[in-house]
Amino acid sequence: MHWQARLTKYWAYLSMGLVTAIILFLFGYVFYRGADTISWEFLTQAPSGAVLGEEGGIWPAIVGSICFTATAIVLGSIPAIATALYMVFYCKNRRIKGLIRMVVQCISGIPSIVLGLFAYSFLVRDLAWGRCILSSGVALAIMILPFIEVRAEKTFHELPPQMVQSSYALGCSRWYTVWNIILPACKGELVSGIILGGCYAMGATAPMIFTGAVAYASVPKSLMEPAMALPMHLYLLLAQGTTSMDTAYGTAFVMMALILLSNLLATIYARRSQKKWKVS
Amino acid sequence: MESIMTLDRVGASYDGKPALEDISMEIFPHSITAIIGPSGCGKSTLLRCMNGLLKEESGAAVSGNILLKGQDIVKMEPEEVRRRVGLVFQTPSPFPFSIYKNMTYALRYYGVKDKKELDRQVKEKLQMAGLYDEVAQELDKSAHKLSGGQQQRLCIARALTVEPEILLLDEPCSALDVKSSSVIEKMLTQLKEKYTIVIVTHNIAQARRISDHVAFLFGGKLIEFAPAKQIFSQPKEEETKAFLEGIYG
Amino acid sequence: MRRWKNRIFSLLVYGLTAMTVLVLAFVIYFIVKEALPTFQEVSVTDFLFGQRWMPIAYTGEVSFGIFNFIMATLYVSFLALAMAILVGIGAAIFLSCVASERMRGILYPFVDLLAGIPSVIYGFIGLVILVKYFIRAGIPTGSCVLAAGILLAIMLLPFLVSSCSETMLKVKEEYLPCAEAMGISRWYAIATIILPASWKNIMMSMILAIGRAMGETMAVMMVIGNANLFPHLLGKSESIASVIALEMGTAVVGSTHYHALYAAGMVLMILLFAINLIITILREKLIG
Repeated sequence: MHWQARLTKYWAYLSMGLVTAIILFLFGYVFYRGADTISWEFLTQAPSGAVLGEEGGIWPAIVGSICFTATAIVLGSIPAIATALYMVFYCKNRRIKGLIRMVVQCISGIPSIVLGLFAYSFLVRDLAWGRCILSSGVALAIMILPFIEVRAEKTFHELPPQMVQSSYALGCSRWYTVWNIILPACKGELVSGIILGGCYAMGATAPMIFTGAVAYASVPKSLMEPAMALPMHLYLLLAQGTTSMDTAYGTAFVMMALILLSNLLATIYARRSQKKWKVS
Repeated sequence: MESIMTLDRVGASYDGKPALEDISMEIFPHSITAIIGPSGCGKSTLLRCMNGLLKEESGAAVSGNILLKGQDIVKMEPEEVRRRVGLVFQTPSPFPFSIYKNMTYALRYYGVKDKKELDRQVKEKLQMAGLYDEVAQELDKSAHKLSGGQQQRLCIARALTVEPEILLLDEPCSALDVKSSSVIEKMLTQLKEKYTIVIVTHNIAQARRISDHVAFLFGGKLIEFAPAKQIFSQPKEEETKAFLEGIYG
Repeated sequence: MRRWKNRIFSLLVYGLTAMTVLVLAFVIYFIVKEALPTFQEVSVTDFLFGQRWMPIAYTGEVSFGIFNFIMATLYVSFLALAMAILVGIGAAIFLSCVASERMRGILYPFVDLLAGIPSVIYGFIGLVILVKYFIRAGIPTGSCVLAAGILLAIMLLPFLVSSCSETMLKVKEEYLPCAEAMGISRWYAIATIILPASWKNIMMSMILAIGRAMGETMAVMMVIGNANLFPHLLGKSESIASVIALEMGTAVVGSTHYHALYAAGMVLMILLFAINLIITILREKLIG
């Protein structure tokens, strides 16, 4: 065998092995160290103790994270999908398309901390919404919007163009085609994009540090209240030193489990509905 | 014979590059008009002009007049034009639904809600396309499970559900095997009793078998337009003759 | 009725799109607006090339120089990329050329799991494993640029792997059958045909990955030590994103400190725009 061939072969196998090992290690480590902390009480009680997280659970943080994520998904995915629809099926002007694409790309390039900064100055301070779920939700929504838009646009582009044109050729209008052909055919990919975007929002800490996530709060009752969030909670536990390591591992466990679950869901969902029109 | 559609100096371009120039021809009712020519000569583009679908593509522009029963299609609602002039594509493109839903898709759009009427229409149009006997028992089956030839006949039947006056077909048989093609050819000759058909094909033998009129396009220009008998026996132009003899593939 | 529905739906799509674009454009405008007052106090060159960052006058004068932060951001990002690309391309070769269609269906989502892990968890694992290890290896507090680089490298992996293997898969399908038909061994063809042919696209993914690396906040902040020093492999440093995250809470609104943090954010944003621009130009030039 030639030396290049042998080198490449070892390189490929070693790298894949390393990647697999890293992934298994990350999940294995967190699940192994966190498993002892996980209990019904841990999941359903509020944190307590003299130092944050020394005793008690993370229930308010779980609910808080769900609120942040849901707000971000609602505010981010609808405009994202509308923009993708516009880009693929409505806009015929290349300049406008290029302009929109540039703006979306720029936003996807903005670091999440800068988005947090924006939400803090503009929403929390200038609009006087205060630190609340909605302020953070907007920052997170802006963060995941390009992510969902790009995926949706890709999915729409992959539809067989003749299928869409067949509908126009029958004299059906755009909204009827979008509603009855395009959205149903892309449902799987769109939903999985939204789930993954939600994951991304759930795990992000930087945009919510100044805008809505706090060290301690009870379960939120409205969007105008600040709340706890899992990633923020984990960060604060770590920032205060080694007093609450068990709680930290437990929190990480819950987050990793949520990530694993939603990724699984997204993959299965996308694959099941993809088969419908791709295999023919 | 009075024509149903008149093309008057029609031109089309993509991003300023001309694809069609100065095409004038007529489509006669209850006949099959075949548009032939080498690949890239603008056959499909011409078809898309006829039902206004070309305007949906970015960068495309159309000039000249196209009259449908004397009415300029530019001045009509685009949806109206497309309803009256149906189009079936080269590759079978059923919607990702059941056969039944594929057939009722456009009818529902036009507000037909009565179940009996829907059933009657589905049956009638599927029969016209010669597909009814094959699928009568499994109308709820996904349209993607049909064979290529069946899918294409379903698409034709689907195009018929809106009662178009003209049916445009863009190389409907090029993705199919010989047997499916001959089934479709037979069906088209029956359909012309009720509809007017324009078919784009690169298969000269097919054009010879089914068409009443032939238009030969070359390099975006209409070289010759004449009754089928005449064009196949004594073509006037040198290019037509060369093409029919198989010089340009 | 039908026409009405169509019109309303179109209006909705147009409206939402316009809103999206306006909001996104407003975000950019707002950041620039808040950043500019900095430069009435500090000159642009002092800001970009100054090494002293002293936002509050405890000892001596205030001073705003972010040179070390910029260098740290670039240093960590390139370090991470160098490590990630080595493993990433290898794994991409495996996925595109070794794995079967079914295996790919499982391995792609598996590798994508890395992208789903929140950065705070990367930081956490970095703290409890990498930093501990570095302390044992003799580095005073364990926090260092290398630790941040390793974490970032792992975070970049999924992006590199998926984009590289997508490219290589296309190249493979185009050339491998021809090569094999000539009797050339599979691995020789991969090394001499597929890798060189994918090179341009791999370059593009690398630039894209650098962009992602520079904007990363939490994971880097948790293990880099956060000291305003010129970056060295085993020394502490501080990235632009960490400065913003750490100091925004204490900066007085409207003060130069506050505006300077925005300016730091703007510098980061401009760096990323530049990268996006390079990608767009390269894509047109190289791939066309």
